[in-house]
Order: sequence, then structure tokens, then C-alpha cells
Amino acid sequence: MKLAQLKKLWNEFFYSEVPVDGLCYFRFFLGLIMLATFMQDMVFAEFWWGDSGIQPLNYASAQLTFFHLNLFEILPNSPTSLTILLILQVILLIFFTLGFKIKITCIILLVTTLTFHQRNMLILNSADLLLRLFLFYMVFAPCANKFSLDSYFAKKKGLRLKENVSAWTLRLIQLQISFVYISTFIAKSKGALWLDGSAVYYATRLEDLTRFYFPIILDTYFTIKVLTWSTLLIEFSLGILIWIKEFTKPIIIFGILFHLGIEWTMSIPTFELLMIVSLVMMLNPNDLKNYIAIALKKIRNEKTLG
Amino acid sequence: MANLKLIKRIGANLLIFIFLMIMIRTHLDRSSPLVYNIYKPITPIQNFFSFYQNWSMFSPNPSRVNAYVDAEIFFKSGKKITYSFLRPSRDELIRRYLFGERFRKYLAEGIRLDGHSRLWPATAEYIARDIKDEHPNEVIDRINLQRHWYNIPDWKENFIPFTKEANVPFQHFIFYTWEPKK
Repeated sequence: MKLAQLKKLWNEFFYSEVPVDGLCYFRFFLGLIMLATFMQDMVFAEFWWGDSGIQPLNYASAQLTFFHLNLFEILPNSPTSLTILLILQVILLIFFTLGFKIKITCIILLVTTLTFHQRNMLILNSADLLLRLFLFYMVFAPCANKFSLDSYFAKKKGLRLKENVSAWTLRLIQLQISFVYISTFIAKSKGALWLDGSAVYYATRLEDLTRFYFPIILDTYFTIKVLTWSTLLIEFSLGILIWIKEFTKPIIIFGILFHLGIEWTMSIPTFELLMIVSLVMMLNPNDLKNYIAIALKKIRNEKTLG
Repeated sequence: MANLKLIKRIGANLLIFIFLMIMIRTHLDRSSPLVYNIYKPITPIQNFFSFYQNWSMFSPNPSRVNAYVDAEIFFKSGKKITYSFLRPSRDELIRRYLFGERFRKYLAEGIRLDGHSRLWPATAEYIARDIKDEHPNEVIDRINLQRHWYNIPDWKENFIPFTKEANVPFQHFIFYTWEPKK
């Protein structure tokens, strides 16, 4: 392959024009998930983030040995600052979900999210990291050109926001999703329990993580082995094979079923829901635009009938 | 206009390149000086945003330890009480789902381990503050932070049915003792 060809492929992949609908759909659901997660955490806000909580600020700051921007360190160390930051975060998450003043909202939201995450890093899990990464990508994405207050106000002023945009932020999101699966597949394929077929047994016997009962399937050697090995197969497919056009849709369906299965049996909030919403982003942007249009039409029809 | 477009394209390419580098970093040899030097310019950005792409839940193997942390509080009066945090496996389903994971991460995967010993005094001090209202007339003598755990037995030897309690006793170990400053 010649350099010119490589450049052409790179440009086609990252910079071809795609409908903006997918990014706007993603912004809305990402916002809802972030808002729901934050509301859950707010119940124990003082405990996790307050100076009279489990980890006073000086302990948290001692961990941040690198250059960082944490508003808890800038504001006075008091319950009032925590309350202000909590209110600010909720307002920003609502603005983000509704697509209001999106660029500035995204930037401030990234700072406040980082502030909360770095205030107590021990409580974070993969979902928090993925949310933070996606939020960063959204800073650069025209994710409020549709289905947003920004587009509504622009329309009122007689302006039309772009409906087709350069694909690079969408591609970065897709690469990120794909990489999560590739990475976890590589890590698991080094584990003896994944190879001998027993990993799902041990994962589902972690008492703190169990949720609803699933008849038979998690109680026989045969089905557990099938589940363990199909987890590896599904994660490999979601990471690699999903890029092959003919396989994309069936793999997304398997991926969604896979995450719904985990959501049912295991008590891991946010992550499964986030992956289900993210997997939809792996669809061809034009297909996704059509699906969103069909879904919106159905919702409107139901409203009219209602 | 053309210049602005070019600058934007260069910026986007740079960002894509940095993020591809960050993505693959977890799978490279961390001890290699070559890797360290290549990543030197990117590390501050990665640290700033805490973008550590480590997607390792249940890998390379799922944990085989069921564990929790609680505390024994001894008062000067000779009275002793046990302090419990929210424990997902013993809490009701909705609380477990909504709040349990944070507590599991902080206590069972965090505080329990020696690697987080710098947080043990803060944990004990929090407990001391938290029980003050419930026991206003008591003076704390000491607080023992205690870990409880059992290893999930080999499935071929002792198969535990899903969602049923394992018939395996917990082991206990006091990993930190805190005494109020005199």
C-alpha cells in the first residue's frame, strides 16, 4: 500500500461527512445515564465527597500527585462548596442532556465531572471512566445540532445547524467502544478460569454483585462453560468483527442481549446500560439516522393517537 | 478559511493520534524505558483527565474472594459495639443496585487492602465522628478495623448454587487499630 492510499483511507474513515443524528442521540442518552448515576451518588454525597465524610480532602489531594484541576481544592473546604458543586453538576447535566449551549456546557461539565471523580477515586469503576472519556469526545462533537434546545433556538432565529458533519468524533467514539471489548478480551484470554470455562461461575458467586435469579443456566457445569466461552467470543466479536458491515447488526443484537443478561444477573449499575446505548453508535451513521427517524415517527404517532 | 480548515484537521489528527496511543498503552510493557519515553509527552494529559484505559473487570480472572469490612468499637466503659457499613449482599435489592457498588469498591476492593493503608486512619476517624451522636456519653478507647473474607471454593469440590448462600465460614482479621489522640 502506498502512503497516498493510506492517507486516502484515513481521510475517508475519519473525515467523510456523516449525518449528525447519531451523535445527537448519543448526547441525549449519555446525559440521561450521567444524570441518573449522579443522582444515585448524591444520596451519599457528604459521605463520599464531604470533608466530614469517609475521605477528607487532604487524603484525596495527596493522591493527585500530577498536575490537575480540582474545584474542591480551589473552593473553600466547606459543606457549602459541596452543595454549590452538586447543584452546578445537576444543572450542567440537564443542560447537556437537553443540548443547551452545548460547547460551554460540555467544557464546564468535563471540569466538574473530573472534580467529583478525582475527589474520591476509590469509588470509581469502568462506567465512570467511560462516561468521562465520552464526555471528552463530546466536547469536540457537534452533538446538539439536532434534538436539542440549541437547534430549537437556532430554528427560531431562522438558522439551520449542519445536518451532516465530519465523522472524526463519531469514529473516535466507535474506536473507543471497540477498544473496550478488545482490551477486555485480551485481558481475559490470559486468565486460566476463562480458558477452563469456570470464570462465569466465580464471577456470579461474588455475593455483593449478584442480582436476580436466572433458572438453571447458572447452575450447571455445561451451561456455565458455554456462557464463559461465549463471553470471550462475544467480546471478541464486539471488538473486531463488528467492523465488518455484514456482521455489524447481528453482533450489536448479540451484544445488547449479552449486556441485558449481565444487567439481570449482576448488580453492576450504569455500565451495562451505557454499553447498550454505546453499541447503537456502531451502526452505519445513515442507518442510525433512519432508525432514529422511524422511532421518532412512532413516538409522534402514538402521541397523536393518545 | 482554507488555513482554518487545515489547522482544525491537524488538531483533530493530533487528538485522534493521542487517544489511539492512550488506548493501547495498557497493553504495552510498563517497565520498558522505550515505552516510558514515547509516552512522556502524553502522560500529563492522561493524568490530568485520569484517562487510564484499564478495562479489567473480571480479568485476567474474576476475584474468588467474598469480603467486607466493619469495625469493632471499644468504649472506656468496657462496652463494645460493631459498626457496619452498607454491605451490598446483605442489603435490600434496590439499595444494593443503586448504592452497593460504590461501597463494594471503596471498602471491599479499597480499604480492605494494605495498598490503601494511608486511608485507614481517616476511616476510623469517620466512624468515631459518626457514632458520636448515638453514644454521647461514651468515650472511645479504640477502634479496630476488621476484614472478613472467604475464598470461593473450587467449583468441582463445593458447587454453590447461584444466589444461594455459601456454606463457607468467614475468616476475620483486625488490620488496623485506632486510638483517639490524648
